Parts: sequence; structure tokens; C-alpha cells
Amino acid sequence: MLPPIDDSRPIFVQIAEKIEDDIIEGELPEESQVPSTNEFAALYRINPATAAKGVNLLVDEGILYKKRGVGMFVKEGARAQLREKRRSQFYEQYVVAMLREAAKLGITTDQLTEMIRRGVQER
Amino acid sequence: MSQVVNARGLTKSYRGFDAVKDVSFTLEENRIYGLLGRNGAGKTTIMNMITAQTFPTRGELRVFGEEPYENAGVLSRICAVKESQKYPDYFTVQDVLATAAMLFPGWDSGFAASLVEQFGLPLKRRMKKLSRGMLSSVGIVVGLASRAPLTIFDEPYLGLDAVARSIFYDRLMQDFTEHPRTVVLSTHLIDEASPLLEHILVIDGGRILLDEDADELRGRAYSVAGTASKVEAFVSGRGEQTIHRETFGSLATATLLGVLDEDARLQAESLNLEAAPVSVQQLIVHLTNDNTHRKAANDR
Amino acid sequence: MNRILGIFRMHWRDKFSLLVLPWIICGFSFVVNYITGAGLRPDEGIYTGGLASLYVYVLVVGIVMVAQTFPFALGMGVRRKDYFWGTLAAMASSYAITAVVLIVLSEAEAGWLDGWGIDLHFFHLPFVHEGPVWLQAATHFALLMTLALLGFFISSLYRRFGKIGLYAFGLVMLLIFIVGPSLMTCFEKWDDLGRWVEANFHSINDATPWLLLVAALLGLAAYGMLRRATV
Repeated sequence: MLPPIDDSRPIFVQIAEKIEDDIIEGELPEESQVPSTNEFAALYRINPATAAKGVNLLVDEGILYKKRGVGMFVKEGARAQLREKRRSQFYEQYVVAMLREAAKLGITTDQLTEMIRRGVQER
Repeated sequence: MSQVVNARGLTKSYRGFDAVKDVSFTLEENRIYGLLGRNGAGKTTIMNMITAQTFPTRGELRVFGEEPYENAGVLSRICAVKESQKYPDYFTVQDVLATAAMLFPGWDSGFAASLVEQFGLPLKRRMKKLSRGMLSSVGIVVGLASRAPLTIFDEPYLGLDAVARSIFYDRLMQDFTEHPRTVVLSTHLIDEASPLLEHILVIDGGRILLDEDADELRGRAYSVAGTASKVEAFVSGRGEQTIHRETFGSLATATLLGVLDEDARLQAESLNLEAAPVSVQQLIVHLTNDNTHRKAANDR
Repeated sequence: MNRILGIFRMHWRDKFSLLVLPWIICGFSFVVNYITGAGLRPDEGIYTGGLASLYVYVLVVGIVMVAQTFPFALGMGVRRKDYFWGTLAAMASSYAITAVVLIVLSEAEAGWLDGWGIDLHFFHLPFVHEGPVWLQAATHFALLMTLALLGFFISSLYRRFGKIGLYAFGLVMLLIFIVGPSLMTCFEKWDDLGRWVEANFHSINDATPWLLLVAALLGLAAYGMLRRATV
């Protein structure tokens, strides 16, 4: 299932995020080859330059590297690096938002902790 | 990156009004450009000047570094497909394609043949007898198979259904990656075409309103919606330019030129407003729509 | 050079309009004349100007050809210069063939066909068909080209100046063909004209170089119009 391209956010960021997701989920293991910019362009029907920008973003962050004449590959340690990044984002994105909503609804800290415990058990 | 088109102070005046006013822009090679704007904004006039089908009143226009008028070296490298293209009545689809093959040095007949098949074009039928959609398809086949270093599509899909448009986008992207060239796509179906575009130029009332990287425009504006008074409070609090406002009784929505960052989100939330970034199409619609209203208001 | 050839070949894709249709028109006129002639059978033979239908049609073709193909050619990125030469070449080649066919028919009519059996003079007309055969062919060609280029000019005028240009042209033609003869009658110049023509032109063949000159001027004027024509 292809996620639709959101035209209200820079597309190259969305491409980078998609690749990051694939790496974290194990779809793209380390040292495996990432689809070429032309493949991204054809698949998502976006401009190849935009796809290239997204890939280069990850190269700059040390997630991908280029093998001359072959293509882009996932760097060793990329998965760990990304998980770390996402972990620090997790707090802002999920925890803070959850606390805000909980405050709005008048849920106490104890009730919140009980909910988390229940959630863990039910998984 | 060499410049394929260079326009400086380009103006086209007709008796009574200016179709194009003091327009300056540059098109670099091997990029896909979007030339967007309302009907009558001046897009077609600009494209006609690039192909020397009409002449500038003032200003400079260089295509591939030279003036295009009666310039074989320049003109043979351009293929401009327009929605209003007239074909000889008695010509069949095959005649048109054969003529294109004779006139465009880079013509790929194999590619043309596969496109003809995909669009389901009847080769032996006269151009006069084609439906509006098929007429557009012929134009698209010519534009794509010409492999011209500068290929211009001016509203190429009049009458084309969504499936045919899809074929067009797919084949365009595919061929562009294999045979890069400069493509200019003029359209009012911005949302559909937007992801393909690398750079966007917006023309409004004969002038350039925007000339930016497509990705820069995404997320450039956002809108908030909710109770009218709260929306007002939000807007005045932000101090960002409002490009659109609408009221529905006690509810209102406003579009602001700014980034929907965490700060903005929290503020909106605190006022119980819905906030969302705005797509490129909406951004352009608001900018050009309200521009017209503003001008009309000033003229009164 | 390539693009001139391209335009030339583009026009020739419609062999029907260029080669066949004029003869259908002419043939129709011929049939009508034949039937009338066979019915009437006057003593001195039938001399008809039915051939004029062919020439009028060539004028129409000249107008239509340019009207239909010029916007298309410009849209395909062809230079106005290349369009002009390619179209001129297509016209010249087509009418060279037509002129030859006319001469063949003319000779046949006068010779072994013997006036089509009813002393019908359709293709072979005295005063017109005098002198060596090649000169007769040249005359036909010159006349055909003049009319074709007149058509070219009219279409180019329209493309450059639009309807106003055509109205102005129509007005000028009206003045020449109505005011002119009126003045001639007024000042009784018809006799002088008749004598002058008789003195200078023993047959239409003498007019050939002048026709070619007129054709060339029309071509030049047409090109001048096209240069600033827009789509």
C-alpha cells in the first residue's frame, strides 16, 4: 500500500521519512541497497530531483552512503541511529501530547499509569 | 546548469491591455517546471513568445542562448503542445505523427507507437473527427515522442479522463528519468501535477507572483478554522499575513502565510481551532484569487 | 534544408487535393461542356472557357492549403521561411505535373482525339495554344503558379492582418475592377488598350515572363506577410 504523497509538506522530507520507516521496520536491512531515485520517482510519481533530495538528506545524516557506480546503501548502524533519534522524538510527539490531552480530560497521573499498565498487558 | 530560457522584462501589449507585464525568469536545463495561473493570466502568451509564434512588445527573451525568431537551431529543439493547436482538417492521426517525425530531430517512432497504443488512438481517423480527449492525446504523443530538449505542455489534457491523465504522468516521469530534458507543464490541475514539478512559476494578471522550488511552497501556509472570534484572535496574535478568509455565520476559516510549527499548533489548540497545512493548489488558489479581488477593490 | 523538405513532404501527404481534386473539378466542367456541345453541335465548333474552372480551383487550393497548414506548421516549430519555401516547392512540383498533363491533353485533343469527335475545343484553344509545346507548358505553369500564389498571398494577408486585411484587399480589388473599367469607359481608353495588347502580345505565350514576374511578386508579398504573422 503506497502512502499518498502529502502536498502540504515538502515531498523530499516524506521520502526520507519513508526510507527511515523501512529501515527501522527491517524492510531495508543494513548494507542493503535503497531503490534508486528514478525508481522512487516512477513509483510515487514524483520528480526525481525531489527523490534525490530526500536520499541526500539521509546521506548527510549518515544513514545512507553511496557506492560509486552501484547506488545508495544503508549504512551500518543506521537502524540503531534512527531508533535513537525516534526515541528522543517519541517523548515530544507522543508523551507530551498524551499528557496534554489527559490534562484536558482531567485524567490523573495515577489513572494514566494504570492505563499504560493495562495497555502493556493487553498487547 | 545552462539556461534554457532567459526572460528579462518581457512584456506583451495588445491594444487596450497588457497580457504579459515585465516578466523575468530563468529556466534551467533538465528540470520539470510548472507554469501555473488562472485562465488568461498570461501563461499561453509567454509560451507563444518562447516559440516565436508571437512577438514580445518589450524586453528580452533568449532560448538556448539565442533569440528564437526564425532560428532553426533553437526552434528545432522545442516542442510546444498546446490545447488550441490547429491541425489540417484532412490530416489523419498518422499524417500528424509522420509530419512530427519529419520535423523533430529526436523523434522516437517506437515510443510514439507504444503511446498510440496506450491511448487507444485510431491512426487512420481524420483529426477533424477526433473527440476532444483524443485530440489532446495526439498532442501528448507528439510532445513526449519528440524528445525535444525543451518540451512545453500547455493545458495538455482538455477532455482527458483520469485514466488517460494517469498514463500521461506515468510515461512523462518514466521518459524524463531515461531521457532528461527541460519540461514546462502549464496546468490548472495543480494538485495532480504538483508532485512531478521541481520548480513552480505562478503567473497572475500578466506578472510573476511566485518563482520557487516546489518543495519550498509545500507547508508554506496553513489554515485555521473554528469560531469566528477565536480565529480573529489567533490571526491578530500571529502577526502573519492572511491570504484568505471566509466566514460562515459564527464560524470562520483563515489561511496564513507561515509555517505550522509546534508553537502555532499549541496556540491553535488553546483556542480550540483546527489547524492544518495547506496544499500547493490551495496556496496558489488563495494567492491568485484574492489578488484579483484586491485589484478589483483597488480599481473601484 | 531538412525542414523545407519536411514541409514539402507534409503537403504531398495530401496527394488527393494536390493532384486529383483539380482534375475532378475540371473533369466535371468538361463533361458538362461535352454534353452541351454534343447537343448543340454548332458549325464552327465549340470553343469553351471551361478550362477556367481548373484555374479557379487552383486559386482556392492556394488559399486553403496555407490556411490549413500554416498554424499547424508554426505549432510544430517550423520557421516561416522554411514553411514558405516548402509550400512553394510543393505548389511548383504539383503544378508542373498539372501543366504537362494539360499539354498532353491539349495535343491529344487537337490531334488524334480530333476534338473529342464533336469538334470540342476544351483543352486546345487558339490564341492560347500557339508556339512550341514547351512554351505552351511554361505558360500553363506560369498561369497556375500565379493563381496559386495569389491564393497564398490572400491567406498570408489574413494570417497577418486578420479580417480587416481581407476587407481592405477586397475593397482594393473592387476599386480596380469596378472603378478601373469605369474610368476606361469614361475616357474611352478601351481601343487604346486593345491596340496595345495586340501590338505586344501575339499570343498568351508572350505574357509568360510577365506572369512569372507577377507570381514572384505575389510570393514575395506573401512571405512578407508571413514573417510577422502570429498564431
